[in-house]
Amino acid sequence: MRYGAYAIIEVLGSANAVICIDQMLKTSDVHFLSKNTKCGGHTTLVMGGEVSAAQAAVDAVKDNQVCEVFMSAVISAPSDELRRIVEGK
Amino acid sequence: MAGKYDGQAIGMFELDSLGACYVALDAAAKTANISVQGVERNRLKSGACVKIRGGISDVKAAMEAAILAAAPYGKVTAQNVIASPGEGIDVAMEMTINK
Repeated sequence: MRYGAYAIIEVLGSANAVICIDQMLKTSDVHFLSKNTKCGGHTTLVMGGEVSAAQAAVDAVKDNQVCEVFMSAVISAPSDELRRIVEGK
Repeated sequence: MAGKYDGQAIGMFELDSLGACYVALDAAAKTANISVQGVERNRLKSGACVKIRGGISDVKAAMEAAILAAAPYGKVTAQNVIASPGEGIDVAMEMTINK
């Protein structure tokens, strides 16, 4: 399924990641794509959805922060290379 | 057998966070006609390294766009471009991906 945008969040640890995923799924219409826990304890989450839904998800996590969010980004119209890397992983 | 990336230029950059690598990777792929060989962690705190292959002019343009796009998200640990890599470079490049 081709997503219009990706929401990328990076938090510390898997427990915080699950909480952030839950927050994002409840507040906006995004789908969970991938969770990478290999990078030094940081967990990078990638959620797929429309641009407005992805932006709403990122804002939801940043507004009521459960834990420190190291980095958050919204990529609209991701390129095929990024789709392969994210959804292939 | 000839690998997929034989003789193509190499562009590699390492950033502080994997999320920044995804943003930079996307900017690079939108700027020029490159293919991403792999994204791997580099065991430096929470950094990650992205390996780009393609024509030398594409790789150069993609690297500039990637470093520019990743500026607000994280520091650049290292970056370099190899115009014409040696013969057996693919073995070394593929070894550590997804390890």
